[in-house]
Amino acid sequence: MHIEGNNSLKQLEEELIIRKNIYNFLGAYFYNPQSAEELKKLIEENPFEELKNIHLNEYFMKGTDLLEEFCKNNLETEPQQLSKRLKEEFYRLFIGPERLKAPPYESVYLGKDKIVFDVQTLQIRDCYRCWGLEVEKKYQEPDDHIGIELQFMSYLIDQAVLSLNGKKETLYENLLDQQYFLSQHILAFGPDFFQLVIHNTQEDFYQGLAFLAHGFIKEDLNYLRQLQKEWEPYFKMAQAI
Amino acid sequence: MSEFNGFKKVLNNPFSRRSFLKLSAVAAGTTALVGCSSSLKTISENTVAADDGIKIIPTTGPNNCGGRCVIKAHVKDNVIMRISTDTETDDPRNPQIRACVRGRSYRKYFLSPDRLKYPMKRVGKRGEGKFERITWEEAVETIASEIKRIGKEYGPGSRYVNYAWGYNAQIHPMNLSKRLLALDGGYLQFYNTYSTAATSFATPYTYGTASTGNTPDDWVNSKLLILWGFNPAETIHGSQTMYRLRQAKEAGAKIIVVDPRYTDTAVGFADEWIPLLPTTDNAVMDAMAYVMITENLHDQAFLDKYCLGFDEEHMPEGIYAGNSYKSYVLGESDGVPKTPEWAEKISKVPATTIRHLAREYATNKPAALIQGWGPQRHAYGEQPVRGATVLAAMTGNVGIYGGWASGAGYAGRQRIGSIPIGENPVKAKISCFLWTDAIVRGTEMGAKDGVQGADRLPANIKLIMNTAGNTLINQHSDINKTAEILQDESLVEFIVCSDLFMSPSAKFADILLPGNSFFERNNIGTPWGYGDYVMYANKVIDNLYESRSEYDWLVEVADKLGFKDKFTMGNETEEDWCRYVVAKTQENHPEFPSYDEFKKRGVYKWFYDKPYVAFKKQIEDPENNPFPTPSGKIEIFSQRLYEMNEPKEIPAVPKYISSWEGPEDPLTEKYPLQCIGWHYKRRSHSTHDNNPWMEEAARQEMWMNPEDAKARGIKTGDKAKVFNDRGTTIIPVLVTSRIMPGVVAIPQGGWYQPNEKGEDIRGSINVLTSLRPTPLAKGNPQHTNLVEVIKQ
Ligand code: SF4
Repeated sequence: MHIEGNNSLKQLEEELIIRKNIYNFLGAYFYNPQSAEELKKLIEENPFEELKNIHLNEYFMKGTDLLEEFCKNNLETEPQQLSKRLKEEFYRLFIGPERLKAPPYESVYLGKDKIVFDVQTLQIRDCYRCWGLEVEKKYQEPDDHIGIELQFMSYLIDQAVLSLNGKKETLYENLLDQQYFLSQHILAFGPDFFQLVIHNTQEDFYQGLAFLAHGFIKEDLNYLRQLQKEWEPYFKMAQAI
Repeated sequence: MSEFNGFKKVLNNPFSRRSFLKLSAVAAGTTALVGCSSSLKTISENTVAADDGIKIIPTTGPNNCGGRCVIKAHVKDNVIMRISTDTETDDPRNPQIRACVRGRSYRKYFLSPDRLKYPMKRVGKRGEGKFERITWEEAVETIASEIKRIGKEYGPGSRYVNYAWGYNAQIHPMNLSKRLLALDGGYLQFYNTYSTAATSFATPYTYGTASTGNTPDDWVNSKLLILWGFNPAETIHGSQTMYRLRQAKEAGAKIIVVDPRYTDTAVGFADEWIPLLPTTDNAVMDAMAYVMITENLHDQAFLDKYCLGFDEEHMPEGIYAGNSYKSYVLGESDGVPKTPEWAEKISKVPATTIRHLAREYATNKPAALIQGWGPQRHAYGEQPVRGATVLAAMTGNVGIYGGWASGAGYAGRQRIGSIPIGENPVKAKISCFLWTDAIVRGTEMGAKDGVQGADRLPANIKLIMNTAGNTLINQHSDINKTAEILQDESLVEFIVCSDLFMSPSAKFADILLPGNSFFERNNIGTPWGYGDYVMYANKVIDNLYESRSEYDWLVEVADKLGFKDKFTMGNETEEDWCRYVVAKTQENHPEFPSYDEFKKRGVYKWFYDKPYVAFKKQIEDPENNPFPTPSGKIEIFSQRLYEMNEPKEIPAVPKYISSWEGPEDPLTEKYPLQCIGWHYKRRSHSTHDNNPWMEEAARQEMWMNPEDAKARGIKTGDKAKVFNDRGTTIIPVLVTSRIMPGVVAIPQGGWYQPNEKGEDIRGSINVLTSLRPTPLAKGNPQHTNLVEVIKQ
């Protein structure tokens, strides 16, 4: 790859933006139920149709299939009603009041006591802090909510785009952070979490979303590893100077 | 990977990259998050906090277990890294206060992802469990306006604060609710508890007070301890009780446990175990008295000097002959001598065992016959309470070191401050057990139903505040009937619940509020009765989600109702009230440390040279210290009871009353087994039922004797259906000779969970229990149940 080539830089930027947006999308959808307008837009656009031919991996394909179907089937559904129904499901899965079907917190999977506000929460808090961020509802909501973690990835990628257009030498470090955060945190519990969603949800929408997310983050780590290899020489060069 | 394209490859291919662009574009616009902005923000100022390490903060659990133990939270940046317990140096006068298994799992339990997170309102039918999130403003507004509306429409006496002890501390959610309604014109008050109705009510008929216990540091002075339905290994009565029992045992006391179950206390301490059929305690007690009288082992001098009504020579004036306890025991009044053989038939305790027990008790002075609270939670629970007090008097064990007056046995040497409830303008009171009656037929209820303070109730119950309790469904009797009553929205019109989890009671709320846990609030706590200490429960982390302490939102309700200042008395926070409690405690105990010192150490212990002995003064100097009874004597015969003129169910001297749903009830043909409950070490009442660690420690299962199991083809681990006319529960069985034949036992507190057929599948005993109150105290007969069991 010709790093300095404008074309490939442009391409890289495009890739980063795609990733950033997808993380933002997933983060938002796992953090909060969606409004009627939001769902309406999604259904009308049906962005999953075109992704069907992308054989990224099994999960991803399953996810795009389900979501594409969901969009098709709900073209006529009253958006308010749909939003309400999905909101109920969102609560059932992630908030309560009954026992959660799929707790969305990292510590519940990786902590030895399976509780909220555990060691993992502090680790994640540190990650955010390193990048000058903290959660809106500090101390009130666990920092290691899957939705927030996905949005943090989106933020990191956004910073990478800025690096690309500015201080390129910081990009390498950013890529390492992305890789670290993805592999040590999101991927360390995400698959278990997504499986719980897949097995317990009564809505194709959340099943599709979980498949899609699972497939995406899995591949994204490979992507980051390759990217790191490509940028390593440049980084070393920058260091030498 | 081979058949799939790597993401990098996909993105490298301009064609497939384009496929992503659309999703990317849609995704880019995904910002309209419902009810919330972004989840991350830039750290303001320079708050990149330095790692301030781990702080160890003392606190204490609020479970209504009877204990109160040191919990130390190891906290870092608002995260509890772990908890530990008491590490202060042991002192035999007031030993360490160490947490039990439940305490060790507080972190696991109270930081569960299943906690209630937001205020909610009911959207389905009541009890169905359908809720929708609302704001705190809406919740507070609704509560305030319903309190007002219902008060106006039906009168203040239609508003009820339900018995709720899920949070046991000086700042008490239930009492705060009462305080609120008291300031708003009043509420229907209750007396009694679900734990001790009969004993608290009946003991004073003998002694004039329920404070009849010595402090447990006195057990070491006893030669013999008879633990009658007393199982402190599981039902903690102050966290150091087992330590005291061990001390007594090491000092050589003989320990006899009387209980249908071979309890954990019996396993650990008993020299002898005497099982008896539930509800037959008085048959055994009467026979013990018979043995003492006929063998002349009783302390006649003591009875002559201090007691009223033991024999015909010591009766109040104007009472016909034949009404003394002795006449009853010898069969002079009813023609039935209460011989050990007579009692054996009823209780299944061999006559020889009864003789032996009577002789042991009468000849090993000082001896303590300590009653637990199980035997009095029965259809005629008043009788064993008073029966045992007679035995204590007959053996001269009242008012001496190493003795025990029996009865309720309360003993407290300290007076800890608490928040005043305030004057309730509504004077009518019901027994706490009769609130379901007061919903259905309140205005018909009068003295016969135990109504106090008024001839009739002013109204049926129309509004219930149920703050931090599970007695709305789970811990009351006859769950099916109770649910039916609550489901009728024309009866009770408004129910507000505050809870940590979606408990069976919380399901019946109209407004359901997320309470915070003890980790998130300041408080001060003491054990039930025994233990010379008080604890500061420090708040160690912030409120989780939108959870709040009851005080926090009640202040807002008070504000809406226009009396915030009166409600708070200037105490904006719970910490302010803690200062108040400490100040009050200091008034009673000048030696008490400063607020800050107490808060920092988390515990204050009193040290005494000698145990406290109940009625010591009355015994040593009776002339100047009469018993606080009408006659000034120990009233074995109670004229007050006599005058109630209900000799069959409320006799003036304690008697064996053949119980409904007891072993002699003809209903045994249909339902041949007696079913009792017990306090399980893995729960505190119903708290911790949904704690997975506790289920590992001790699962929910029913005890059944091998004889009964064999007859029904049941093996350990089999699921069984336990049922009577009131309901059905399904529960795994433990076949064990630790329970006597004819009796099954289900540990109380399992969370009612009905299946499609309406059968409970969690072994919740209260689908089997009855709403019929005890005759005198109007208490709950939770252990008086006939059932049949079949293999599921
Ligand atoms: S549950 Fe009771 S006995 Fe156990 S640690 Fe808590 S306060 Fe102590």
